[in-house]
Amino acid sequence: MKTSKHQKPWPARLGDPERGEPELTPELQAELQSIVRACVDAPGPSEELTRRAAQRAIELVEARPSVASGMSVWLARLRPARFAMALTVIVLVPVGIALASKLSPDGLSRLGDWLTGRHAVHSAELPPPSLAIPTPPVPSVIASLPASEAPTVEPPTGPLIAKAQRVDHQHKPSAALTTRPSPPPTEDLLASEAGVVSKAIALANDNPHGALDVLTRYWSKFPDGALRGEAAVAEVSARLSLGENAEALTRLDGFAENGFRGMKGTAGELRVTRLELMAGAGRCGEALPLLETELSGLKSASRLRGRALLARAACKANTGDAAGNRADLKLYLTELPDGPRAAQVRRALGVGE
Amino acid sequence: MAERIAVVAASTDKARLGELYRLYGDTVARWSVRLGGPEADAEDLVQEVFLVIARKFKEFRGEGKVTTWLFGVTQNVVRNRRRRERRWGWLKTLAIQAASGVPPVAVDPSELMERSEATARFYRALEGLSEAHRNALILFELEELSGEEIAELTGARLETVYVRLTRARRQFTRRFAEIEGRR
Repeated sequence: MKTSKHQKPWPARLGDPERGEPELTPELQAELQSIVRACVDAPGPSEELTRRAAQRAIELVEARPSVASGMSVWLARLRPARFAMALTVIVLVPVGIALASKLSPDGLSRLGDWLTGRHAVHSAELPPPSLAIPTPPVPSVIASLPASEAPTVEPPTGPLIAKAQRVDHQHKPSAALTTRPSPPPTEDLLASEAGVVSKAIALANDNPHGALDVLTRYWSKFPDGALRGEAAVAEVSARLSLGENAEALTRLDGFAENGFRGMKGTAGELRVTRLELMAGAGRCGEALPLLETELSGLKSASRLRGRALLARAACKANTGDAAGNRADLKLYLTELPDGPRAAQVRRALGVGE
Repeated sequence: MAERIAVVAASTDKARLGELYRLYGDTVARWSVRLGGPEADAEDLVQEVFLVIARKFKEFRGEGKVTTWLFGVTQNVVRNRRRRERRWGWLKTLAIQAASGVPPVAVDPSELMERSEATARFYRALEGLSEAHRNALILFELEELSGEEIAELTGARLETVYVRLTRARRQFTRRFAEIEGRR
């Protein structure tokens, strides 16, 4: 056994009972050390694996730059966090501006005030965007909002402030418009809702417990919120991060009972996730017909369809339909030859790269 | 270390990349697997990390330490991979292993089984920690690096590393005890 240079025990101060932490008994300390030791001694990747990976990477970059470039695009696509938040902001703000200008007589001027001044502190309180869930399709959510709920949504960033000011400058409301009565003050409410949901989304990956705390507050404060679809995705993501698959499925079952009401933009994502979880939970009798329906409505070669295909493959395997399982895996490869699971599916099917 | 960087910097692109893998490949592969945890597909993960390194290698100007750069790339790839896995990694086992006909759990010698179980318990308790805390704990406990080495590798200040380690150990212990029913 390799000798560790950190032989010191886990310090007892870590287990402060007054802070609600477990007491670090000598037994617990010994167990922790033993587990760490076992992890240190566990076999790592083989030399062969490393050599093969290196060789393949060099080949891809040197001999097949187009493949490497294609894969880099694929890799970039699978890094959704910043894209998602940026896209959300980029889409939400112009749509919010447009709706505000259309629905509210002095919408633009008040929006400019809001963006540049009143909510600056709120903006500073938000954590940096970090989103591992698929991009919430914000436009359709916004489109489905009642007219009285014109969103001003995302907290502003520098360039967006500039953009809003530019728009404000170009489209000053006319005197006639400004004399009309102001609409109900829903912007603050929506801004507040967007702030809470953004916070939950940002926390969902790295601090899922924190995200769930934020979402508990969200659901109590905005039971019929305009962004509840996004909140639902964040909650499910957080629960999956914690390994709480059963809880996530229960939650999704609840949303499904209501027909994913008010979640137009995210319903597809939520439905497919529910079906995946049903497949994993062995509820295949129930899931298979739903998967058929879902697959018939999903665009060929789309990301969601790929996931649904694998869920159906899982269910077919679960119900003893080995041929159906293989057929779905083959279909996955046909539709998504560079999909996120393509390499594993190829290996499973014994198909060459 | 300076010699290694000099060797890496001296050759043609392909040769430099080959040399980089020869010198650091094992380390990067081990980081990848340890940061990824037992749920990650080791071969796929290492392949992805190496490919990203190859793709980004031209961007590396040798201004910083090569290990810091390599660790940064590894850390990013693993973090993105883990995010994807969280969502539906469990499903692939179900769908894909059924097709391959390979039993999900191979029969291991008892010692390997124990190690594997211990590893699973360790990584289970790590879930819920932030990436920064998780990585600090893995580097300290499994890679057995010192605080200074971790600071160098991650580009963080030494004080930051120690704060992360302390918090990570505290959270890890609390979660471990919860999972094991010790409280």
